[in-house]
Amino acid sequence: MTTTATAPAPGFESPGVEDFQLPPVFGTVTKPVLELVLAAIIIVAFFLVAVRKPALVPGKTQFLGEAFHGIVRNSIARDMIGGREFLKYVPFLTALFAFILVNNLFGIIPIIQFPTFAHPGVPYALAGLVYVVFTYAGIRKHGFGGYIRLSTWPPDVPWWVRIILTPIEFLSNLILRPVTLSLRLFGNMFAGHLLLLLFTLGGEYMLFEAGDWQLKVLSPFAFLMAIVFTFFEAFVQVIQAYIFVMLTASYIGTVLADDH
Amino acid sequence: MEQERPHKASGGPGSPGNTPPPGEAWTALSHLLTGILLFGGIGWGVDELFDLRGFTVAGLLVGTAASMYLIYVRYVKS
Repeated sequence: MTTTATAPAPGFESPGVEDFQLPPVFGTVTKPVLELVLAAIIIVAFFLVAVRKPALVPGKTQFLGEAFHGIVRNSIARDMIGGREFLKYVPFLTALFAFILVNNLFGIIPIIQFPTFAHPGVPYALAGLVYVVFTYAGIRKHGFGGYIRLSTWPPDVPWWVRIILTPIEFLSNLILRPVTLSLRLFGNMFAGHLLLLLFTLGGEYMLFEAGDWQLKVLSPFAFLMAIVFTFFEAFVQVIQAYIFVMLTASYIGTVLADDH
Repeated sequence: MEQERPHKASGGPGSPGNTPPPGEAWTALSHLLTGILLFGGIGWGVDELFDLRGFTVAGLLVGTAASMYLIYVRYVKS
């Protein structure tokens, strides 16, 4: 094999962070902003159609809507929050799940092809909203002091151990929760989009721009990988939406828990 | 028993067995990393400030032990 085929081909610029800084479509409105609005419209329209004519034997849309709601209600909210209080949070969790799911799937829908949460500002805002919701729920249930006590005061340990443990719980429970929540979603979406960009742009470069015939012959494999990873991304996008909502419900459940 | 107290959130009525909900696993991991980074960071700060050695390692070890004990207190003992 000659060195020209193995050395990194000159001229190919691998995709990077700058590919996520999309230019504004008009004014200060960028593509992720439009996607957020579009996702909201899609979800509202879908659920309006789903509940418009409720029938005893549901049609396709109604069935899908009810199944979606049922998953959030039974396998997320009831399992994680439980008690009598979980029903109150089902609408919020359902909307959250639908919103993240649609925005994630935008990453593999042709033409749109950008997962909104690959732009870090969006998951930060969403995690901030979740933080406000579970902090408010905790303070309303236990009072401010009771909420802080529940989150940072390990039971039945000597005072000098508490000096060491309380800072850890304080940081982990009250400060870092929204950070990890948003970074998990952002990281997965960012990495997935970068992978797809790399395989697609790399394949395109190998086929059209590289001079070597070897690269042209091998380019179908790059496109094949892009297709394989598109299916993999669909899986990751659904799982990450589920995990985000599941953890949100888990946090709400934790702050509503009775002290023991 | 019909008159059970409102259960603790971890382990709701939907999870009858002893399987801990996945949320707890994430929280435990978060505690572990926080402890290591917090006390490792404090140790590193002491080392840097006073031009010493060894406090970073000591802090990392204390942080690991403290996190593990915290997870034990929170999820195993109770």
